[in-house]
Amino acid sequence: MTTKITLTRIDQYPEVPSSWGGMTWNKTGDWRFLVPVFSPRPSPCSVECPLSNNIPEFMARLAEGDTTGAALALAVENPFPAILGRVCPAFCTGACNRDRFDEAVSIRAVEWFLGDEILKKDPDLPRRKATGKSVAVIGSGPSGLSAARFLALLGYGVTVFEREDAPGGVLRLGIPAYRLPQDVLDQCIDAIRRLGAEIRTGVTIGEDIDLDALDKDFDAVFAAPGAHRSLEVDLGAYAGTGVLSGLSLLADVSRGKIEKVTGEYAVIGGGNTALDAARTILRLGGKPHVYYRRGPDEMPAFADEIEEAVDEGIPISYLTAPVGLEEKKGRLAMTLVKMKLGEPDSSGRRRPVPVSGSERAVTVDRVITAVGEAEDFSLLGDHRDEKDPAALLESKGALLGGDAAGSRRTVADAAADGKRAAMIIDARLSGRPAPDEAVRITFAHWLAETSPPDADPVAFEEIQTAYFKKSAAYRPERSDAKNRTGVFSEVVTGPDESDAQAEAARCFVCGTCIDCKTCERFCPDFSLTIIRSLKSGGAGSEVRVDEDYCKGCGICARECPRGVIVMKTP
Amino acid sequence: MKQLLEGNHAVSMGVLRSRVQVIPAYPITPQTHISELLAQFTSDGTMDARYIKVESEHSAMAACIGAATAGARTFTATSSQGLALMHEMLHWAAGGRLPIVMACVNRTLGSPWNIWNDQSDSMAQRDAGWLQFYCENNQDCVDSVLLAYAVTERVYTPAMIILDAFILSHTTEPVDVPDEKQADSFLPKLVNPHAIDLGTPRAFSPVVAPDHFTEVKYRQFDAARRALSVIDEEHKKFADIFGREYQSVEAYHTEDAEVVIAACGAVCGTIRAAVDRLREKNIPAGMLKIRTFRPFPVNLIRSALSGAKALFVLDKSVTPGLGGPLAQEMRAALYDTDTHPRIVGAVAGLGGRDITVDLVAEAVEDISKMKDIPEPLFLGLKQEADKS
Repeated sequence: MTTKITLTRIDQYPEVPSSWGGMTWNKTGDWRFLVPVFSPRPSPCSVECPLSNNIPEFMARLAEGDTTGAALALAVENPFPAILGRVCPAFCTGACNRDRFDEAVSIRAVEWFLGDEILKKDPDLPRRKATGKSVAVIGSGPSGLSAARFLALLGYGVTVFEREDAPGGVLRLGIPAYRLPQDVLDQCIDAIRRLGAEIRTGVTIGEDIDLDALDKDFDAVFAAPGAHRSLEVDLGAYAGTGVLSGLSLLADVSRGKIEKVTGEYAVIGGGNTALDAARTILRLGGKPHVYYRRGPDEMPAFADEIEEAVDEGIPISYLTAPVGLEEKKGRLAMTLVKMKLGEPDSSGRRRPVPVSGSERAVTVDRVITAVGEAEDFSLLGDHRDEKDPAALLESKGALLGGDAAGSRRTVADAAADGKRAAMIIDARLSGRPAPDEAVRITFAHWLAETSPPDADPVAFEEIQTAYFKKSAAYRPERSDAKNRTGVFSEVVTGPDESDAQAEAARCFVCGTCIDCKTCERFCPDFSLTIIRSLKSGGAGSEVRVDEDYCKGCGICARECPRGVIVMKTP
Repeated sequence: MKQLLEGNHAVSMGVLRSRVQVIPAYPITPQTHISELLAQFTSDGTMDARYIKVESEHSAMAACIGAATAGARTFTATSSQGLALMHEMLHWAAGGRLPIVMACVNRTLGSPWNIWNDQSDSMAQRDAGWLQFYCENNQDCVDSVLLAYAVTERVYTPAMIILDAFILSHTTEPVDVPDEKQADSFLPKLVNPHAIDLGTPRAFSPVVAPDHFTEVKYRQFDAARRALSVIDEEHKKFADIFGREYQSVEAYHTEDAEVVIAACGAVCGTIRAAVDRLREKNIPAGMLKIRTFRPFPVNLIRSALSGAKALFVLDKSVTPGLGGPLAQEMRAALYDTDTHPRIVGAVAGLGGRDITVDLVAEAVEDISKMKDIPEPLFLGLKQEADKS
């Protein structure tokens, strides 16, 4: 502190003007009309992620070299990142703020690396002790597996009923091994078993066991029967055996029932199933040709899948659809028409309309149809054709999730359904209020019984890009198209630790304080102290403002690289 | 050691001998050679100094202020627009009582654009609080750097040494560069008791409210006034070591002069020759060279001019609405005395126009015949055709 200095004569004055005392008596805090508020907020990537993965946290930890901490942060929200790191369409990347600076962070690649690390060593997941209650899960696809995993962490006994001989659902039977190796899938499922979930294969609900019996024997039921009833293509009067659905082809290959094919295959459809079928046929020795009724811009398959198929030399004919099929000299003659795009249909895509007089014929050996899948409600037994199966299940106290519940039909959305179902079941069985559907609740918050901050995700304009240097995103290597079409090994390999760490370092870490000390350094009044940050102990970080001296200049808010400090009127 | 040096390089040698530690620099014609040679010296190790490339003259002076506050001996050089650009920093350095030395190579201030010599740039800064010394030749340039440091580091008032563009800066003359030992014996290492001391943290040039400001300014004013005797002492010390004499005001044939020509800078060499020529014509002329312009050496001027009947003041700049600055200051200095010569304020050499011996000598002869002399008198002005 200072004492007042009194100078009454010229000779008392110093030669050179400088301060003789401190300025702490001057409470510059009185000057402000705005106050900096420490505002940890969601990142746009986490908001877009169906699982609400805490992406900023695992990126920040990995960038620091803390692979174990990063793996744990990812595993808390994500039931099988080794799978999602390979197959997820990565909605997160589309929302990544870095995309407006140079290139979006390759989030999925980092997830892939951490997912494989998690398989090497089970992370020490936070979990509740046993509740003594049990839950039945129908279906061991991504939705059922996810529900089982999170229910186990919440302390419930879980039994998963799977009608196939091996668990995994569409993960095993629908996604070819060159995209998701079977041993990776097996390891992910084993990890869920290790958490305490039991998986009973070869049991069909609705045939071997009735749904009502499950309702009696368990405290809750979650049904994720999937959507694997292939839609049919109208091929006229053809009634032979030359047409196979893409899903059955893929399933038979997965079970080892088909090891080789020959001949020319027409593959009808434009989604992942069609391309997976075509690329599988290629690898088994056949010659696939894809026919899709709309144009390349409308094709629903993932962009990298389409690229890889084209690189592998698979021809794709757009705006082409079959209208008839007949046997011809031991082979099949398929009649194709050209299509043109008319008005949008209910999906919002422009409806394909046949161009009259454009018929032509091609000769093929087999036709594979992959034009969409319908939900399978055979678990309802005699009520399988029920108009509102979800309501019927609800009336029996069972929740519905995954592809059968009308979601976006991705593994990530299915897994998110399973996680939310686990929380809803936990709410019902423990007497807690159910998670608010409008709120993006994470598992971490659910376990801790806390609420996420009610705030909009950080926008690109709130990122202080001066602290970042432009760089290219990590691009995973694809194996050479010439060498890969005879084998089912992975086409793309995930990054190694140094590539993953370097990519994680590109993450802005939107909305999470990482103790970079930029605000402390720039505050002209020395009025900011970082009390807790990601570095010093996880979420719940805090930047403390010295109310006596903070002038509300806003430099901290402007300079925070990741938009964590927001100026507000006090 | 005698070397052939242009004025700019003579200044650089002065800076080298003064063992300057920090040189923030920004180029401008015609000072750039000063900074270039210093950049060479710092890069090849001839000088153990920190050369800071800055983005403007304003920043150059700001960096000098920082360096001086930290206790380093610091130097920069500029001219014209560059000097004008750092105007607020000049005030800051002076009010902050910082021992900075700067070389100003006299170049006119635009507009219009002109790179050549006159005194408008340094004259425009005469109120900034800096000591100002005008050099007559290249020897003067090297010696003035050492002298400026010696003085500024005793009175804590920044100092500007001034040399004419091209006439001195780019003209080669034989110069006796002091050797290191001699220079060290004249100019000791800088120890500034007012510089930053980490053991006693303070704020420098803090807010000084109305209740103290006048006294702080008085201290500054007083130091500048005291500087005149300090300058005199350092001139004597210099003469003892180097054998070259300098004075704040230098008289040439003024003892019996009826008309005295007063000026600053290299033009004084021309004026010496004009005096000689006038004397050949039996006109008793003399010259008063003003070497120290700030502080303005009022008493020395008064004693030197006690017998003159006419004072011909030659300004190489002009203040619109008033006249030549040196003429105004001379008039003011002589007002409160019994010496009231007829004073003619003449303006010449603007924008680098040559001032010849003839021009000066003829002008001095003419004024004795002129009845109404315009104030100021623009020498060599291209006149309108005589209407009468």
